[in-house]
Amino acid sequence: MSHPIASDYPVNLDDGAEANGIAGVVATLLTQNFENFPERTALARKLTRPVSVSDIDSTCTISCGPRAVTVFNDVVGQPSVTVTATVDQILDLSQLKMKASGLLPVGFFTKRGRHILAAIATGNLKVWGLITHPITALRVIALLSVVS
Amino acid sequence: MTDTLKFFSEEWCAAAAAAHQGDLAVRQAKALRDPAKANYILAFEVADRPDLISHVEIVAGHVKNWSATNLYPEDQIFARFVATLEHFRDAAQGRTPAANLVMGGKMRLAKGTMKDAIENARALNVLMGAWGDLPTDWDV
Repeated sequence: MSHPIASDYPVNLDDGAEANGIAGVVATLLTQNFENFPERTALARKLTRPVSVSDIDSTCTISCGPRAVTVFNDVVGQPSVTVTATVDQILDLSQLKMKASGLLPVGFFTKRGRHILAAIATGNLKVWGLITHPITALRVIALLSVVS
Repeated sequence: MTDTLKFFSEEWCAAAAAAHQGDLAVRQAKALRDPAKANYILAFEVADRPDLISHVEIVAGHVKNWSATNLYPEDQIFARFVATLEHFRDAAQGRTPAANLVMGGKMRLAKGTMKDAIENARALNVLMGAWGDLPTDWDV
């Protein structure tokens, strides 16, 4: 079975040149991940509700549709999952190995993963929706991961 | 006569390369994901200042060459970072780590992959953080 072509599933920046810092970075990361891991377009299509990601300075919302992903500045719509993290935590999250479309989060059983879990447990890394939408939360991490 | 070096001048680049020895070189290499395979050329450019560019050649995780005039061909550039002078200064003087500037979009990754930038973010912090120890004249 052939994988979908990443270019058939573009990543759009809703605010274009006015996109804030994290929106631009997330859009670049998603674009490159779809090029490197074309099978992740199928994972993106499973994210039926928006998710938002915040660092200290700014927030973006990722909305995955059937034909494209749109990254918005700030919070748009009603995200089912909201990740609020420091840059270091986002760097760690994006280096977690996730298998089975995120449902097998093997990266959490590493030193880096345990560090993240501790940060979540202590509230230093906030993942709103982790309890109510755990699969979505895991899929978002899998989508943003740079690890194959 | 001044004892400071103009940012991204050839003299400044030579000083930056010379500084990446000993403990700093060890820390730099350790921060890389795979130092043995870290053979590439990085470009640093000040936004809207085409005269302020420097290229760094890294071999096996260590700085081998750094220049503002003897620049490498475009096809050899592995990654390019573009930021304002103020943001380069922020990174150099430790106010904001370079990786935070990249992840916050203030230092643009104009060439290269986010994967490499993320996996080697801490090495970038070490590399640019060390610029703060150089006697830099930022009035360029």
